[in-house]
Amino acid sequence: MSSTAGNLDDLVEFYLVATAALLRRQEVAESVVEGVLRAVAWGGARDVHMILALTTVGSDSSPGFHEVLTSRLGALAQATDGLRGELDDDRLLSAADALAGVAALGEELGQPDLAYNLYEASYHFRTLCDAPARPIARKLRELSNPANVDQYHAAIWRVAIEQLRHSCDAMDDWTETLDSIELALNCPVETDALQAQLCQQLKRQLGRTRGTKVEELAPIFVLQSPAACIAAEDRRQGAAILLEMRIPDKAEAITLEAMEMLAAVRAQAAFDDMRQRLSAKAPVHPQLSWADASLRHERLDGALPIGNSLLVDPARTARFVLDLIHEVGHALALLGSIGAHQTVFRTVAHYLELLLIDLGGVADSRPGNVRALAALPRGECAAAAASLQLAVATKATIAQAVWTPWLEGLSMYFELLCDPRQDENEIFSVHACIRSLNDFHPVTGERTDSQTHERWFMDAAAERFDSFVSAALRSESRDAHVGYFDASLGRRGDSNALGYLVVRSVVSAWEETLQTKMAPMRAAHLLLLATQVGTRDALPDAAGPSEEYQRLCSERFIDWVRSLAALPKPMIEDLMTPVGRNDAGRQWYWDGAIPKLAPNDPEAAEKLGLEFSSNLENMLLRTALLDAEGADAQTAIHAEQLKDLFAAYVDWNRLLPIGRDLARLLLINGSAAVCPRTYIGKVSTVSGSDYRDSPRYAPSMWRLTGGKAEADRLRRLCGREGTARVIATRVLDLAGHPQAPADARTSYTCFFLGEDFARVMVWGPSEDVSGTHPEFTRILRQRVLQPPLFADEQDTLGSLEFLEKRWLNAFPEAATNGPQASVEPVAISREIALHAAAAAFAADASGDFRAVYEKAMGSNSRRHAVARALYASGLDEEAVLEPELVGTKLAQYLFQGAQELRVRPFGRGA
Amino acid sequence: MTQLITALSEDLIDAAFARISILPEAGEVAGGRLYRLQVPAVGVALSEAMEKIRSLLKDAGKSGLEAVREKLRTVVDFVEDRAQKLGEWADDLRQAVLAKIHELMQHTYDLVLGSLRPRIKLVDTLLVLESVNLSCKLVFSGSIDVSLTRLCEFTASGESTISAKYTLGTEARPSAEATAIPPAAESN
Repeated sequence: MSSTAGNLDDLVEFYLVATAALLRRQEVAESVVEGVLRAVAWGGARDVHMILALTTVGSDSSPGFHEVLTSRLGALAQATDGLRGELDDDRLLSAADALAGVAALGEELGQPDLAYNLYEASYHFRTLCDAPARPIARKLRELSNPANVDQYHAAIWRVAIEQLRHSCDAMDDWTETLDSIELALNCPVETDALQAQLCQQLKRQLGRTRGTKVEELAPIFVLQSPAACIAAEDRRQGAAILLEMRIPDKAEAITLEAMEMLAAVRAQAAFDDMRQRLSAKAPVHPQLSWADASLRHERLDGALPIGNSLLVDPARTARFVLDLIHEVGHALALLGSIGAHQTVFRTVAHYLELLLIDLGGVADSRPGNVRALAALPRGECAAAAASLQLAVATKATIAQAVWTPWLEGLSMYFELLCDPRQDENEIFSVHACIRSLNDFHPVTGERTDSQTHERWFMDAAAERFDSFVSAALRSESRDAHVGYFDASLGRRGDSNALGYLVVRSVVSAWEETLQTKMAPMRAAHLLLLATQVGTRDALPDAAGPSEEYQRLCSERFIDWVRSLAALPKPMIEDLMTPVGRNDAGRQWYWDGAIPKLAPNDPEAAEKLGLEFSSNLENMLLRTALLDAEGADAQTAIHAEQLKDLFAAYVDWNRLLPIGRDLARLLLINGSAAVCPRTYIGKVSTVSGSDYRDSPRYAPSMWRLTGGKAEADRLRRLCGREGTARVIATRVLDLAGHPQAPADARTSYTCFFLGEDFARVMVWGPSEDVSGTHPEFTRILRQRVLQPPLFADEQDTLGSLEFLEKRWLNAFPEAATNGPQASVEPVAISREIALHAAAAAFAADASGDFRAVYEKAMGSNSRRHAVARALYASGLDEEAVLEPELVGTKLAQYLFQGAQELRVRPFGRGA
Repeated sequence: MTQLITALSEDLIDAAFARISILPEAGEVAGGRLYRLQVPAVGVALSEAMEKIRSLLKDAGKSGLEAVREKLRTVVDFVEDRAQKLGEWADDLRQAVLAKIHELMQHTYDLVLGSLRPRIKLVDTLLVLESVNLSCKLVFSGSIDVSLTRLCEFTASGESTISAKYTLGTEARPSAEATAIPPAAESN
């Protein structure tokens, strides 16, 4: 008790000094300060009132302020009086409250340091009676001084302690609690005694977690806490138990440290699992956004491919690898004209949004800080800009809807049929991208004398990847076919399935032209090439009239598919000729519907490229209704800005982030490691099993160079950024960025924390190139940490529905004579898909085809039978037409005959 | 006292299938993304298995249990084969198939009972349902094989399975309605 009393005296003195300083800074006369101080110290609330009644405080204080000051200091005097004699919780708490009151006043007066001291005193009173103090702890965190590491980090610890106490009381907010504890573990206090005290307080709360959702925290704490918290021997024992090993008798310090790091990483997996359980989200279907080509997949939601995780276990990752092939296929297909048109629309829509933000007079209109407007500003200018924006977004949506069936069909073709073992010469670009996500290949086998080591390794690695994908394809393709055609996918899914039928019939037409069977792997090269560069004239002018856009877009698409199917024999042969492994690759471009070999002469090639990009820029300016030619200076500036924005967007869409995890930064014993998660493991079950039995992620550890100095720097950085996690992702360079350190189709593992920490690695655990390639790092950072304008773009600027609603809210009078009628993308996709399929299979009787298709596909078992027939014919599995389909009109349309399950060539009619 | 017998028709099987949802209906998709509604591997296998079961039950209804014994075997083998291929998801498939068979049993049962008219008017005679006699009981079993065999038995022996006893009612009405046929399902 005596020590408490002693502490108490110190505490009272501490807050009296702070209070006095607060008054002095308000230019209160020294005699008054002394008087108030004495009154507070002796518990004379009435004296406080009397003294202050006769004084003016501060030069420009508001009238109410004087009363507030008087009452709060009066309360403090009363509470101080209560501290004499027998202490109980009530008295301690009223002292804490009175101090918090004065502290809040200090904040209002712009004295954060003194406010901090007063809050700290308040916090101590609360800890003396073990009372919850989360709001006070948050205040301490907010007001603590980053330059004073002890103070700054102690505040982080107090938030963690109070947050945990709150969660244990309320049985809620667990995720926030975990985050605050992680942060505390990364931000130790430098004074050991203070650290030990904070640890003690945290441990007391940890003792209450038994039986809660976070009960694993207690053992994790032993393995990850700062050195001052736990005896070295205890921690080592804990590590040994977790790792199921014995501590060597004469271990060197470095061995022990490695052991402790390893144990901390293992413990992190439990930490991450806990977090995962607490923030369970509905799984997302695999998808790629049109707007900024961002890829989502449930297995990448909080994880990324690292090391050998992609290929390590066929039973678990085969399906996932095929999903990636599908989505990356989309991203590559969008590198061409279809994607370029979308980028034109997107750039103009964003540019107009910036204009609207300007017109609306948003306070902070710096590009890095603006968001999409929730409501449009009024006025003629705004109406014009918003109307153009809506028209542009409508065109974008129409183009997306029209091309969706083809792009989906194309990606299905890559995913379901492309066996890399069928092509011994070239690697398909989609497969090359996926292969770059696997960092190392455990290669076996002997090297022959004629091989260099490098070639031997590359060949063996390629062989391993090829056989993995090949096996995955053989085991998954049948089910995937059935899955795509199953009735539960409803009408939307039909446009994808029809798109696939059209792709198949185009390939069938080529086969007929060549009079020979084509390996899907070879056909895929040509399909992708045609979709990328052969679509230059396949879309109507983006700046053309809105009323005609949908009709033109549909017509051009159908014409394009028709001409693709009808490519003349010599051209298909040329395009299909494989490139030898030591030969230079060839570049193609499309002149109208005719593919031509790009000139070998670099000057001519450059000229061609410039012509292409200047055409696009022209279209961009016309779409934004900017006349760059006869322009005034202001318009010219706008035009330049627009072009810059366009170039940046084109750049970004060539860099595809794969997976994103907030990965824990572990700082143990003066070394640093990042623990990103990979994705092996069971994801969902029909019956629903206990998550604990099936961890979803495998832990992974990435040691950071720089030793203790870097670890200390990162501790501070964590404190300042308020997180113990870095953003970890992998970025695929789809087209070979000019600033990149490596070739196209290389993936980069990236870690970012705020503006001051970046790691970019070309292969798995390799050298960081962020120092040698700062410009590339900057671009990657921008791509990964998107500005708020892009946040949820699919639901804001990328969503026609959002824009329409916003437009009608601002200009209800336009509802009757609005710029255009609403478009239904799902209906457009289905319509164009049926149209294209009718052109493919029933050139002379397209109306009939639709009726036949819809009637036959009304039965789910017939849908399955069609899917199985497509699978068998696509992968040359032996099969005949199933009884369900024999004699049906649909089978007559789709297939050559009952015995020969070949898909009917495009436009050859039944 | 009159005894009427109801028959299990193909329609009844389709109607029972229409009442179970094999996979959750996929929601509508907003624009702005290339989006696949993907049926997971277990879902695909389940969906295929259920189509096979539908065809099996129809055959059983037409030609009796003995005639479909072999087909029944292939369906059970199909499920087991697919389960094996699913690896760690194997049990998910087995359980899902079993659950759907049980659901089917319930719906078939309900439909049969629901199809019996409580009153039948024959010219000017009114018959009122007095009791229903099920000679074949549906047994919920934990085995796919047994459950499916029971369901086949039930559909195959429809005529002898359900008999309903009617007694003369008191009210007489002029209109005449006859047979007790289950409501026709939407044909797919």
